[in-house]
Amino acid sequence: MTTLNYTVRFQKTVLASLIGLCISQPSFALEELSDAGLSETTGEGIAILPQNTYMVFRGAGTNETTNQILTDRTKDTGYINYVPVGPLSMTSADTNKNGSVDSGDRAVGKADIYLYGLALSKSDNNTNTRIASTDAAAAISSWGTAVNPWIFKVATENSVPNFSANNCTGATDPTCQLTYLALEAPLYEIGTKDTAGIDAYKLKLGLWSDIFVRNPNKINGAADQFNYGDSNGLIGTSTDATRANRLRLQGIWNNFSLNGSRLQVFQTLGGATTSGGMSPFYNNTLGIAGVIRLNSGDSKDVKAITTSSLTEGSTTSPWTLIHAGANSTLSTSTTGDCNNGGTGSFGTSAGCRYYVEKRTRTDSKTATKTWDASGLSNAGVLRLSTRETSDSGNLITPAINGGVAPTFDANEGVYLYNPNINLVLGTLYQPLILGSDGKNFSLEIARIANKPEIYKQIYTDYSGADTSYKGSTCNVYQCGNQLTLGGKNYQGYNATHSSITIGTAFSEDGGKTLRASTDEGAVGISFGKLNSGTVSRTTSSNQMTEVHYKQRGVNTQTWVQSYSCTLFICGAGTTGYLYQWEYNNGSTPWAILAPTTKPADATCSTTIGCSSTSGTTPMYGSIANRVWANSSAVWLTAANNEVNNLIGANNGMTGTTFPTLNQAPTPVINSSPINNLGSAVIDGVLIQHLKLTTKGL
Amino acid sequence: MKKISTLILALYATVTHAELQTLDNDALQAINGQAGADLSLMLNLNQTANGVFDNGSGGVCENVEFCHIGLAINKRFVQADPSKPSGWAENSDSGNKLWLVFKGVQGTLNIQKMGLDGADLKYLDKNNTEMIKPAIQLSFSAAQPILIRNFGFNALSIEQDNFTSSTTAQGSSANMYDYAYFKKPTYAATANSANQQVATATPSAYDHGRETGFMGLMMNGNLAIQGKVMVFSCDGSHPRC
Repeated sequence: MTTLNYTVRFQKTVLASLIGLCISQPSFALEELSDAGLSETTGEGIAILPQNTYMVFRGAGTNETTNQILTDRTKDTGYINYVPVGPLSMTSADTNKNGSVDSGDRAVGKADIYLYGLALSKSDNNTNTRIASTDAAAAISSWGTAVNPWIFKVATENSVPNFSANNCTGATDPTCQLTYLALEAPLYEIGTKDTAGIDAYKLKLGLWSDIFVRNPNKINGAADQFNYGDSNGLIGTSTDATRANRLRLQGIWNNFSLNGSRLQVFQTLGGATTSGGMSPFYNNTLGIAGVIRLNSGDSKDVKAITTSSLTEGSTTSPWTLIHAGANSTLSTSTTGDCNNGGTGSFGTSAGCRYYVEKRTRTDSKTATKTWDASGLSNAGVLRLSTRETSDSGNLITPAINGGVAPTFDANEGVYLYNPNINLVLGTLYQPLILGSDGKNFSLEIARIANKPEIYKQIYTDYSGADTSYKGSTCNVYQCGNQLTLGGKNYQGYNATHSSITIGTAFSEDGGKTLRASTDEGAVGISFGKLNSGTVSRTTSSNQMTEVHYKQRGVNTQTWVQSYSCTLFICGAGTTGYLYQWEYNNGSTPWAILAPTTKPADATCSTTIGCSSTSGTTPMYGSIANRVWANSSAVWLTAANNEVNNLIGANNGMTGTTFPTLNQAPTPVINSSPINNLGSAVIDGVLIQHLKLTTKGL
Repeated sequence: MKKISTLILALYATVTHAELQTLDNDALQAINGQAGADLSLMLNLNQTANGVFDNGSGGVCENVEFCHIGLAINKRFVQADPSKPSGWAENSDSGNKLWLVFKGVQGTLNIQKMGLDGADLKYLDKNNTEMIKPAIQLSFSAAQPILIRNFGFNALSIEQDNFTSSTTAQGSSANMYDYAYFKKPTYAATANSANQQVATATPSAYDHGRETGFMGLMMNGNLAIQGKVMVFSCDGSHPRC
């Protein structure tokens, strides 16, 4: 029974407006309208323009002030309850698939869904509020404009191809005339948006929900109705009061628009038979065609800003001694078998002739990148989160137990940045229809008829070569044929293909197709909020070694050391040898350190007084001659195999000098946060034929 | 109801008057400076005064079949066919007509205040000339929310007539329970069906006694709406129409 309570105070303006709405077409007398007259009437309807508006579904209770409504979220407990009805089907109850419901099956139950606190307002760019905190910030100043409002209208379209094998004969062919009832959102404006309607592109949706698994053995309202375990057993027998059979979820969607959406309801045309994959069920039944557009806007520049820098470094060790030139084998000792500290004979092997040092250098490069996400704060974000900041009972919900709405963690959850969702579900010639076998129901998007008149309206020639193919993709850049209202351009709604982009995406061909950005700053899906950050990475070169050495050689001087003198005859003389070190000082001849002067030649005379000998042989340089440190030897770097052999490969090689350029490899780093899964694009989706059928109702 | 009926009649009367003068946009704009109306409207459907389904003894829904809404909007029938698992084959032209039946339809809706005013809107029409359009302005205040109490339905079900119809002929029966929308089966407690009860392979205490179907929907709360809605006729001169 219906009870109406009302208090009405009509004033003249209101009455005048009402009458105006009823008879806005001038008419002096009512006349019969012929079919011809009706067919000339096109597209008249009711325009609807919400202004300065927002909405929050609050818990049942007393009236509140707007300030309470906007700032006190705990009372967002008005709900829509999806009530499960009907027992479980065999398919879902028989979890071990043995053909019967028995003690071997796992616990399953139906879902009981509560959607709370549905709030629609203007976006405040905050991903954890359900509405802005002041009237001015929360209100959608104008959802559309006077020239581009919501429209509820009836219109007739001619020359709509029907399902039969025959083409339409023209605009007057009644089998191709289709009248539809349409609810249209404001159109999506191209380019700079009209300021009067800008808020329509900045909507905010907020809600939260509790979703329970119901124990079928408990009656509705029982205190333990959600106590359900997960053990095997007959349905509903596994009870567990502590198991969290509840999903608590928050959904916040900032900066989206519905503009360009349209829903058409009509009676489908006829002509389908069972041939050609078609079905008589398509004929003259309730048809629905929808363009659902949920756009956050062009996302090609919705990305983090990355700045990078590179610093180079180099560490060179001091020269270190590896061979002191005092021993025939490699040694840093200043004593050895070269007899550098003695006066007698000395060794002349390579070990005694070289004094060797080495040094090492290691280069590094440090790359630093900053990923600045501050520009994303105004981006559209669809966020789903579950974590509360304070725990509540696992099995309670305000609709049943009373209490307040929860407080959710500010940064947790799945973030879908800048989603642009454009779904084309059915058209006038490929309708969405409903069916049923008496219990279960089906949703079907009719098969595209194998008839050029229809499929050329739907298929796309992406090359553009064949313009008889009219199909195109609905996306944030375009959606069919452009329209002009009041001198401004708007996207249409007659595209045929769907697309979904999440995050940074762009088009390379003026909107025909879409690409997901692979830019480092690209955003898209992320777990947890995307925050700014700086990362750096340092790479090092291999250790490089440089060797230099001092060199000395044996300087040999000779003199006539003795003659044999016998009977005044000078016999053949003996040669005396003086061995001492000469050091490579970079000039020729090398310098002899603390040289010992060789003795004068022995003299031989046939007269008495023959000296016959001068000095002894061999002679060796003094101790002072043997001291590397006092020599004027210069450091040498030229390749020298003797040195190489002496020091071994581990100590480097002569002949190499350190390169001028930094030898570290350039570090490759990605500054994008690890929780950023990047952008995604699903483009050009065309449904050829889709049928969804329920089971077990 | 009397006042509303009078109002509606009055409107009809004025519309049908043959000497009615055109009330064009200019005439409407000439009327100004008067406050509008504030309406309050309370709808209580199939519920007691405290918002509970009125199916008790003597209640309007004591016989739940009278609290159904049936819709048959899409030419769907079934014909008996033993070869099908359900025993019924779908048919698009004739057979037992299928109905979408909302069961246990109920709710209390209290619009505490809705302002009704007139306002002018300006836009460029199809010829790009400025148009001043009078519009109905409905306004709502969040401080006086729309009270919604248990608004919805208990079960949504697909039911079929017990007699045949076709796209051209509507069948009939002398027994009201042959009509799909009067059927009121409930779920049985056990796998055995009793009178008017539906047997189920997976008996459920939760569903026992409920009217059959597959889902219900129920709204409860204070819908706080702030703002105004302009409603105006979108005539042929408007670029969108």
